[in-house]
Amino acid sequence: MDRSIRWGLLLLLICLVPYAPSGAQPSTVAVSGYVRDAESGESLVGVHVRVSETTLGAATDQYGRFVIVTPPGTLALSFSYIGYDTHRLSISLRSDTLLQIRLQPAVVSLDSIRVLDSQELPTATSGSVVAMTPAEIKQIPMLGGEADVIKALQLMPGVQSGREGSTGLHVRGGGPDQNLILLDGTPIYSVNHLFGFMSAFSPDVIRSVSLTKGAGSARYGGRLSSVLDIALKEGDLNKRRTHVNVGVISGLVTLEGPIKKGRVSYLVSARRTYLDALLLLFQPPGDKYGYYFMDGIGKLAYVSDKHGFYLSLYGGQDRFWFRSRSLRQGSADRYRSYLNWGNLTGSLRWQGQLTPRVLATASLARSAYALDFFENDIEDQPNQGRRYEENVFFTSGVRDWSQRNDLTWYLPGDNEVRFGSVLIAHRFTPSSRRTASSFEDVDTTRSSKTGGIERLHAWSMALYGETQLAFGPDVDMVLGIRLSRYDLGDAAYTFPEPRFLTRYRLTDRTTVEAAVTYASQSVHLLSRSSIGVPLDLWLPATRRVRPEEAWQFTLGGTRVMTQSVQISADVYYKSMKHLITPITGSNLVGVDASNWEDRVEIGDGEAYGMEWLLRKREGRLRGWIAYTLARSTSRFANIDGGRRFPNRYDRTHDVAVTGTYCLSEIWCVSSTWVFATGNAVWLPAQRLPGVEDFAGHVSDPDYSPVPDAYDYGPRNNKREPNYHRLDISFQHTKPIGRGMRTWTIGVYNAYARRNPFFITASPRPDGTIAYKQFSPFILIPGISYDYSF
Amino acid sequence: MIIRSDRGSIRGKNLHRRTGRLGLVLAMALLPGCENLLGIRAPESESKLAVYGFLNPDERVVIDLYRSASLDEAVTEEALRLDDALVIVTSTTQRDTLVRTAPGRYEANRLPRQEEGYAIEVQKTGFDTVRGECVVPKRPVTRVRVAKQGETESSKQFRVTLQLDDPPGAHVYRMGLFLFLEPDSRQNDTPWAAKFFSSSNTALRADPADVGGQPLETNPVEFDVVYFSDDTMEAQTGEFVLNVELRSSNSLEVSLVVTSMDSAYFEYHKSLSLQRRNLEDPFAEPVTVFSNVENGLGVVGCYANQATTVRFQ
Repeated sequence: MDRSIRWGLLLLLICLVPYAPSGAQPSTVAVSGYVRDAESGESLVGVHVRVSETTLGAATDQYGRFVIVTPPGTLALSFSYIGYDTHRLSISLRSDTLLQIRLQPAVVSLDSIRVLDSQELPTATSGSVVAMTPAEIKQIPMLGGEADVIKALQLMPGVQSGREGSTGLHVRGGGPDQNLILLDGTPIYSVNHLFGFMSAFSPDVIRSVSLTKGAGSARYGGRLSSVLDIALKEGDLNKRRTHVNVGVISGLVTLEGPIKKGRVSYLVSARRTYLDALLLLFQPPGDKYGYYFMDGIGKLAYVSDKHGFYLSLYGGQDRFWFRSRSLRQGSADRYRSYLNWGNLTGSLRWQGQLTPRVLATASLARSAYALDFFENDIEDQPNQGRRYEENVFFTSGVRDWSQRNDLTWYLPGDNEVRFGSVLIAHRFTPSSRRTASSFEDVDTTRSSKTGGIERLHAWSMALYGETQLAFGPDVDMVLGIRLSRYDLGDAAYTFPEPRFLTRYRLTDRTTVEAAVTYASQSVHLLSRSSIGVPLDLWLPATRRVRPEEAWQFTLGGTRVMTQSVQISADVYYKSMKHLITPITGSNLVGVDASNWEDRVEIGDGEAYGMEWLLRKREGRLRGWIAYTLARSTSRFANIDGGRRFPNRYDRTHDVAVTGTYCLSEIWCVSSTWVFATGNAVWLPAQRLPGVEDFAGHVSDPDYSPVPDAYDYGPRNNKREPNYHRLDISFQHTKPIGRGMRTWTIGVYNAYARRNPFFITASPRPDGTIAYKQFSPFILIPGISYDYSF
Repeated sequence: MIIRSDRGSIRGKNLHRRTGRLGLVLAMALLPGCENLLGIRAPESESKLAVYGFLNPDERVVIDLYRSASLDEAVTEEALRLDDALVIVTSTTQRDTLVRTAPGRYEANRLPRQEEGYAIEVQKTGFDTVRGECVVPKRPVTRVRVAKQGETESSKQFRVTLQLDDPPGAHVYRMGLFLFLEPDSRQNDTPWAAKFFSSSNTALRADPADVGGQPLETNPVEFDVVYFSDDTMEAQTGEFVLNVELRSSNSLEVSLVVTSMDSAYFEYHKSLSLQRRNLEDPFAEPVTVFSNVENGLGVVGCYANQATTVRFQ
């Protein structure tokens, strides 16, 4: 047996050893249950469950479940959650008890002053974990007034965007591919629409969002930098609801309601942009082009007192097309092409209580991402009896079938053991190109075909075990191991991935924590361009291009200032290896499955930094101040002679100040100000003649055109100007008819700062270079209308 | 008369350019009126020697020597040429010091030989000593046949078959049709056109095809070439078919040139073409021009031509 497998299994057993002699202690009882919204019946994620006058507590999981194991007796429980009234309950426990808790949405009282009581202080949440509610996301002013999950997260410390306006997610110096993005537990590969300017999910259909910076729990794996867990709404179990949102770019309709009241619900949502209609107004003669995106979500949920079944479907697609037709000198030329990309995912999940102390989940899921490009080119010369036609089809993508099982065993005193398994069958289509051409004239017909679709099949498997140990009231520790295995042809890799976290409660208000995580990633993203234009290829790890690996060390502290205010600070260091980047000048579209490995450089990366977050989540004024001081670099043997260079989005300083102030229950004003050190750019450094040897094969002594060539020097050798902007929006909410409507009017980049979207180097006639900056996002107004009934 | 060879057909029109077209449309839609000149200085860097030597058995050894300039420095190409340098060419059998024959140009009175290695060393006060080397490949062995396919009132059709014997080892080739024209004879019409076709055992790789570049408007001759590797005809004979249509009552003589080249020669021209293509593309990664010159810039590349005169009448 492989040595690393033996080590992994040994560590897995160590996780379970502390509990082996104790088993289920008869002197304790389990109080468990579900926490749901009292009106809609939706399960609530992350509700703090506290046992008064003890340090015992729990947070509800993705299904709203909790378990606390405690000695028998009278127990005073409190359930608190942002936006809901705290629910208190006193029960006499003699045996295992199952509770169904309904939390009442809070009636907003803007002037209420809460008395600080140490017993009611919320549990300090780690600075490495960011949770957001859809309501918080929707109040942040955004480009075009379109609320966006990913862009809201970009305002958090340690999370950086790519180019302005894009939905790139760079967490602690990692790439956008290094985030495990789970939509109802199913990994999603590409999360952007509109060439990266909008994310693939609307907050209107989301129940909760949680971002864990770093590998996090041993439950998760396969990505190096973060886990973004997005839970979709389940649908209202009690009442039919309709939600309509109309924005500048897209419109959305959501329907939800009970199929069987209190037990079975449905949710259907569809969104589409109307940009194609607008683009029709700007068509040049002879040419036609258009773009649209759309996505849809469907969900069925069945819940009982102890179980739940969920069927989730998500599909999203972007399409850009172009057609042209020209007539010249008896020749009719026609050209048409399209570029499609999108995701299609589905999952069937079950969750339930196996015993009062053991919660389980199981799922079967399919996730697919595809990028297709097609073009057809016809040159028709009927007078000459000639016709030339060429078709090119390019496709790239990945499709996964996955099955996972998770089990959590709750033990007395806030101790618990988690273990489970994941099996994924991958099918990669790295980059396949087919061409077909034909030529006809009076006496000849020729045709030819090249290429084909080549696919690679791989397996990923993982077993994990994790234990949470409490050492007295102030210290606890999470010790986990994930044993990952990856197979593709003759390439096989096994990674024992340790995960360690310890927390020490200094006072009732202050907690410090330290974490060490190791993770591997067996899929690579090869990106040609630095915006979300989908010429990005998802590629499997192979014998030559190994899986990516990362160690991350984190030290942090959190202080609860008041009931709703918390401050946290974290220091991190991350080391990554086996990262890939295209070789200089490589044209990825021409790459096929058999030679893409020759088109990449393999190197390593390093990132470190400090993060601060001051956050207030309730009251008349809500928001946060986030600051990141960071550095991220890469090194590739054949780039810059193997010297380390700053990454494109290496930003020394990154500040975000976001706030919402409600003047009344009708009017709220929101504002965001961001500042970031300019991106690193790679600009030409020296000019020299670009001598070409065309004379060599025509022996023409008079021919000597010498246009310029440029020496770029070290990679990312210059900084763009610093980036900053202010966004403001106003929300007006009012009951209308049977429902509630909200107008949101705002402006993006309100003081018209000319931030660089990109910089180009443009040669002047005298040989010098003019740098041109493009700043399209200035004073962009946004408006949206939202109506729910 | 102008010769134009159509670069379509089996080689496939370049997909990248097509996606670039889509990108251009997107840029047109998104970026109107948001451009402004930026007052930032070029990255700091030092001037280097740039050496250009393209060695082949048909021409004497010629080296062009330049220095690179800061991007803030408005100088002409002539002003970048460097005199008073010591340029030495060394082969396994001979060592020569090159003589300056024109500003920045140094020549040796010797013809490079096939399958022989050459090292170029340049010493110039104020710069690091630079050095580059290459091996002249063997002249390609080709056979050309021309067959008349048909004739109408206004045109004649020909089929040109080229056979190329590929020796063992990795090779890159270039093929082109060329015709010399008087500068004042340029016309707007296209008197004849050629289409490249290959036999089924020969694939033309997509990337080398990028190197052909656009026809040069400043050149009295308009031409186009294809670059291809020997991946699918290793140590065999490859066959290429060109369909040529002559739309002139006169006969025409053209030169069909096949070039075998070393990797430095190929990589340099390829990267130079890519750099030009990407320079003003905001979404493309910059391309560094290939250089095999130690401590400097430029290229020392070797190649060998085989030219065949083809007559269409």
